Amino acid sequence: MDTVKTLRVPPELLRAIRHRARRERLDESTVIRQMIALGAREYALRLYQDGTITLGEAADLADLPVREMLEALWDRGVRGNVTAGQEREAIGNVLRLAGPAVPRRRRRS
Amino acid sequence: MDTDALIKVTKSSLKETLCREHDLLLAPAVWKECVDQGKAGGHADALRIEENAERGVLRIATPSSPSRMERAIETLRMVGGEADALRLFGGGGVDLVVSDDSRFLRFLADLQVPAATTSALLIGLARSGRLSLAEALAKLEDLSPMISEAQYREARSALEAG
Repeated sequence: MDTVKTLRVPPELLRAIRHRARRERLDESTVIRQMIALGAREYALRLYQDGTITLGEAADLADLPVREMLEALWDRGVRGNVTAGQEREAIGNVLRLAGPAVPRRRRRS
Repeated sequence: MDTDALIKVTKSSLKETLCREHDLLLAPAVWKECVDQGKAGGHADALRIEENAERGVLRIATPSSPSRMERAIETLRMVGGEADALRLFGGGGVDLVVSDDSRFLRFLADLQVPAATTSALLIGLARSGRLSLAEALAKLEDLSPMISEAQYREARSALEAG
């Protein structure tokens, strides 16, 4: 259920709201809701990029399905957030399971 | 394997090689996020995953209930595919949880759950001789638009070091 909130809008933000409302022939309330949603998505992207939240949490914050959140991240150039240390640890885990190395072979023709 | 890892190995065509060497298990929530949401959004990889499951290449496994991980899942407020992947591990018989999500990897490390990334799996395939160095490097390039620069650099240097 929607919640009614009262908020003060500074003049510079109101200019942007009115600009979009005029340009897209929308009422100001709709534009405010859209802009808050855009801000929420941006916030989720940033937190995911920093590794502060998981993909699932980011999707929840942005109100997107997980699959679409992943696309939104790639569209914004966020390729992933795994750190060098995490990758080294993951490689160590895989190699412990894989056992001794097998001599390298040539590329299949 | 969690949702982002499954989508990445599908898009980079690494999944087929992985499935030949490993038993890939998907939790129901991961299936929902990859296949149901993917098909609803018109993503072709969702159809490829569905086809793999139909051919028995991937397996959907229902986590045991209650999983020994339930308390951690609740405390860490994990939901969706991440929570279900951890439940599946808690059920036993799983060697590694695969994810490219930094926050989830931190949770796994805190819980002492062995984890792998998509690119680390690639290194395992190269090390065991299932992929040549050239093939592994080509697969890493396919993954590169979807993984962080740090992940790519570490994986590349591990591959080149043999």
